[in-house]
Amino acid sequence: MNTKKTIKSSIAKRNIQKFYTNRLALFGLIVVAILIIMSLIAPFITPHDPNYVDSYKRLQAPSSEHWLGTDNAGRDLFARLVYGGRVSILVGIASALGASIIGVILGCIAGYFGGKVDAIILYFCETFVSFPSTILVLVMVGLVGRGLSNLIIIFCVTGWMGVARIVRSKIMSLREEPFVESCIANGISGISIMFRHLLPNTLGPVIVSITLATADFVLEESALSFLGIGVPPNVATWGNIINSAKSLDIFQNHPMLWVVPGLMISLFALSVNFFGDGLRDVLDVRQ
Amino acid sequence: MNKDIVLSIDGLKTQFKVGKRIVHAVNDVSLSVKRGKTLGIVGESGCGKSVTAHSVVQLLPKTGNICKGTIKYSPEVGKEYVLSDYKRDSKEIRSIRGKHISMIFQDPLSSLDPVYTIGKQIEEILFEHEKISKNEARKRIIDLLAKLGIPKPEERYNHYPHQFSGGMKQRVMIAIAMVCNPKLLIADEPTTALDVTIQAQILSLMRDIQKDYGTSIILITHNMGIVAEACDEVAVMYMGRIVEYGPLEKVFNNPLHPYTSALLRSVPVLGIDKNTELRSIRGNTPDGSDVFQGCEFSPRCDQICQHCKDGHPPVRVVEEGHEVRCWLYEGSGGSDHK
Amino acid sequence: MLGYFFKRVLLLIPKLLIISILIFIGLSFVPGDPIDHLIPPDQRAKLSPVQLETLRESLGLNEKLPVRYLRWISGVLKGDFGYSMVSGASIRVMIARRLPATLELAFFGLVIANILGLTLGYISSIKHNSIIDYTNTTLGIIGTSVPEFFLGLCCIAIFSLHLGWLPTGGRVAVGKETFFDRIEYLVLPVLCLAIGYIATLMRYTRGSMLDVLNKDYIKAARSKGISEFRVNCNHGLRNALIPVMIILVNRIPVLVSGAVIIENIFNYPGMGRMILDAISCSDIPVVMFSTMVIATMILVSSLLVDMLAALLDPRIRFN
Repeated sequence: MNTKKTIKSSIAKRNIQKFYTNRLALFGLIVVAILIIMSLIAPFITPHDPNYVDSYKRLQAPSSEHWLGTDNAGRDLFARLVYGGRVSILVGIASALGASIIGVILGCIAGYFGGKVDAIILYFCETFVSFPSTILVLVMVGLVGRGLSNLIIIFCVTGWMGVARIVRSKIMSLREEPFVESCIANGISGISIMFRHLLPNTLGPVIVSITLATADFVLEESALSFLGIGVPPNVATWGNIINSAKSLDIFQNHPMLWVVPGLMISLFALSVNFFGDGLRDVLDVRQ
Repeated sequence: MNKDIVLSIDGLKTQFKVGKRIVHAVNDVSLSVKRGKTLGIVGESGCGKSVTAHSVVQLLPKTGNICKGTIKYSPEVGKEYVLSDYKRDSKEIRSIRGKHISMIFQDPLSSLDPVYTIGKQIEEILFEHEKISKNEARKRIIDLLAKLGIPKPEERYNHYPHQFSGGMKQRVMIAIAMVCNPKLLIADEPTTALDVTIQAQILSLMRDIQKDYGTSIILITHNMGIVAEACDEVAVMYMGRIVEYGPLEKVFNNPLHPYTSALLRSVPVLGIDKNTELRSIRGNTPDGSDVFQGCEFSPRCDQICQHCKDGHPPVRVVEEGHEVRCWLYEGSGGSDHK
Repeated sequence: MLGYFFKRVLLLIPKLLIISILIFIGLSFVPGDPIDHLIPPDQRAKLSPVQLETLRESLGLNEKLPVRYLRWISGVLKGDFGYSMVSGASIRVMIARRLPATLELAFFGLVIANILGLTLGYISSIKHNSIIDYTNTTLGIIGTSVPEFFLGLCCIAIFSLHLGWLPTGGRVAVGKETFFDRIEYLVLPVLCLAIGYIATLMRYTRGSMLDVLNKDYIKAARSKGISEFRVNCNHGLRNALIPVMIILVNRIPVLVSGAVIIENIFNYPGMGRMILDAISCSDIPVVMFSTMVIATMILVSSLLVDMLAALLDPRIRFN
């Protein structure tokens, strides 16, 4: 027992070391942490209300009061960025988690039972994958309407295939391992084997794909909001901020209003990707 | 160089860079292969036997390189190439590889490129080294395949590796290795991945080849049984050094080094008395990066003496052609190698 | 090979069926009378309520759902897509006008992305752990992190508005209709579309190559005495391409997704913009049929890439 503990802790230590030496991953983790904390404690960072319209203060240059200036409705850009991060990151994380839960469950079922069940799930998976996600989302938004929760649900429904495939193939290979046979011989039930013995082994790749999916969903949300069919325009998100800067005058003469949120989105996605890649190396997940 | 010798390695030292550490995989190895004879290199996994063989044709991974020693190759009397002088992947060494010295690898399943027909893969080596027309090449390959015991060679010529069984794949590997009539064949654990019955077939096939073509063979293995069956001379390696080296009968009948005797004791022999203990060697092979003060085998050795921790034992020639690297034979009347 | 091809084509049919059913269900969401998008609007205006009822009967709209589906699908197969609810134009004509533009964009995006992605990935793997490799991989991650629309906006701001080198958008100037006139309109959209694809393809090619270069058959090929370049190309890249092909299949839909966004930024008159315009005015029949055409296109191109993978890999061909 004692030796097991020390072995475990030494592996953890080595992994932390491995992660630490990967400077890009560390950079990613720090930036992601800062951005998440900033959006969590938004009211303490900025005194401004992101939706407060002040028509006397339209399109102001950065000043000590408005750090990044104001937009065409006189709203404080910095406040909108920080509060917008809340929604954008929430959409990203919630969708990634939701999609992964669907993916894990379907992947487990397909991998464990195999045969016909597997064939059907795999077929659905392939059909979903062969559909362009943006268009799928567009169509579904067209059918069910715009809205924050609608968007998250649509993302979950359209984004589960990657995780399902990973979990399925991992469980399929694990199923052949002798320890599963000994579990069966010992009378452990199928569900228990699946969730208590097989699933934990797929955790590494699933964590990596949740991380990377978060970045993808944040990008997708911003693109849809930019197109005007994502989160409703009255809610500040990174994509919506750029969307409201669509007029030619603002585009040409006040680039701050779209460049800064654009950089924000890129920075967040970049950091998450660096972090996810580092995690992949540490958890030794092969693509 | 002695005219009977096709390959001589002198003081070879090969090292690998693993991160910031340097691992000495092969340390001061000297050996020679006689024309038309088979030299067995035997030892546990990680003892440097494969690295020694790969050093000969500079087929080391990018992290490894030869840092000392000479490797001389003489295809015929009076002709001599110093292989260790050539740069990795230079034209010179490439013209030796495959044409003069060819290799067979451990796992025939993964040593054949899955996307080409076996005919194409054998052709490739022929076209690289010889000016030959496509038809001629095809004829020669089909003849060779037939000779190597592959049924329906004309048909098999156009088949892909996944359509062959393990033993057949190893025959194809041998065909690739032999198609240019090399002077030296390096077989790196050629039978390890095969079933026992197939193992015997492949070994006897290699013996036939040697008889027909006069090819010299370096046979790398960890199996003392295979050494006994197939080799004329044997070099026992431990931790990158040759600890015992000599003609087969001498080494087997009179093993000098404690490691060799331990290896021989751990082989089950048919008809052995059931009460005789089959002994294993205690401990594990140490990590190659550990630096040793004394003899590398001393931590696992049964016959340890007071010298063992002092330093590396020198090579001793105990009797004609039979060398050992052990402190037990210091002052036992043998002569110093150098 | 031919057998494999037919098997894949057969597998395609149920997929198309599922999609058509989904489209049919989607169309039934259209509020109001389905006859509105089944006949040309000017014709509809002329009809009396009695005539409408007979027409409805003859179109089978009063039948049960499965019968209606069968009638509908046979019409679709003949190219009868119905009419836009907003403009009243024939959807088939609308699609026929927009599809070539999207195909052109996607085709050039794909070609450039493949050339650059494969080359960069190959170089990265050959020069593994060198500065070139690190630069490539870092740029690769950046390439997948910058959203396409932001990249597009930046390109317009820099190359079109600031430097004035290229047009801000559109497909062709009035009066100039040849392909060469269109090139300057294609440069920025194609580039923005390709960047993400290049990055992904590069990463996968690199990973796949590194995997293959560790294989025993690479060592065996080296032992034959053939040159390093030929080992890397004929044995390395040749094998590495197989998994990359599969990635390619999976990423085609992503490319189309990108095209929707890019078309909107560059005001490019393709399918993507048509769908978005239709969504913003709830013209669901247009949305549904455009989606169906795109899905069919994707399935067919996936099939083609699958065939390519089978050509590369005898193990797929023979099983």
